[in-house]
Amino acid sequence: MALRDGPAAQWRMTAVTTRDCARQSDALTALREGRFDALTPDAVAAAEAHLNHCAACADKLGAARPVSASDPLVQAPRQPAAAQWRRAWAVIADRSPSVSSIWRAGRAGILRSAWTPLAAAAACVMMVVSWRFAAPPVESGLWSLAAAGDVRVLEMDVGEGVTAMVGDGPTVVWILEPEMDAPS
Amino acid sequence: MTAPNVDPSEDVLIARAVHGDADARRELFERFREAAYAAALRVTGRPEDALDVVQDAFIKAFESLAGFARGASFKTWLLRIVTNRALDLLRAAKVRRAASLDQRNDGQDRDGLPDPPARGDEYETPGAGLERMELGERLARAVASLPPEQRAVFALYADGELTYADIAKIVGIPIGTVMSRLFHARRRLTEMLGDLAPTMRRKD
Ligand SMILES: [Zn+2]
Repeated sequence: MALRDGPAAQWRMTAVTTRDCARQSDALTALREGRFDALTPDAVAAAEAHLNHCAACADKLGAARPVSASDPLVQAPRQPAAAQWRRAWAVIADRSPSVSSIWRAGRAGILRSAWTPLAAAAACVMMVVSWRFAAPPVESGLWSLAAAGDVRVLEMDVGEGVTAMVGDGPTVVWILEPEMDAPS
Repeated sequence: MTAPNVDPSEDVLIARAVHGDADARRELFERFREAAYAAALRVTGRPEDALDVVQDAFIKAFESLAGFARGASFKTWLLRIVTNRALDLLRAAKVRRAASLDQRNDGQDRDGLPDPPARGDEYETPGAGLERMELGERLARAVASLPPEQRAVFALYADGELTYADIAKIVGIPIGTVMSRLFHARRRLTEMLGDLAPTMRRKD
């Protein structure tokens, strides 16, 4: 809970919270000990409201295990016969993948997803190297890459949803001839 | 929240099971199938549905085991899958039943499916027939007549090994709501089984 008014408010809130905890103490103890029948719906509603706002009481109760073993409303159900379990296991073994899917698909996924950034990184390294060392143009059949000494951008067409920005530092500008795609 | 009590050998089993070790998977199945079945039965109310839920849950668990956080409790994780599957099954049955009723009301032919199974809703009020049943069977039917969200909490409470924090995590609700649902579930069960009060003393 956020405290806005300094130490005095902190003291007030702590005092209120502690009083609330004390007020709920009997109900919370009854819940922890599984004495549900000792509580009324109103008492449970008040305890619920308190637990939703008091992490200390919620943690304390959360750490408890239900005492359901001594609850007469809890009876161990009759379990399937051995033959039924055997059949169930046969179905499970038959239908489960031999290797857990995240493991299996994960590696293919990693390779697929790694390809795009790897290609982009390679292109960037190429551009930076060619810019820094004023290397001769890098060319392929479809495109060429060369460092420009002085470029003024007068107009820039970008696709929908893309922001065009040219900063003061080194900037890469693709100049595309018609029908030519940038390397990717 | 307390750290889960995880048997160290469980982590080893899981690591082997991820890579498809059939013995490790079988060991996990044998360790946790009864808890899974008990929870599924308390939610679905029908043994055959419960066994289907257990099968589906283990298949799903083995499929996605690689995403399971090491050091967490496999049982808590499995019971989350079981509870979700069981609740999905109830919802699907409810939709089928509603569709079937609509068709009958429209005077159209039934879709050829068997009658939807009785889910216990008919047993909300104790009747003369109920008195002939054994305590365990009557309890199971009474539990099956609870609203699904109360059933799920009661099923996990009945397990006895989970903490209230585990139950809250599995169902995805705050601890206060766990206690409230549990209280109302027990109250309703006591009302339904009131005539059995003398035989239903605390077991301790
Ligand atoms: Zn408190």
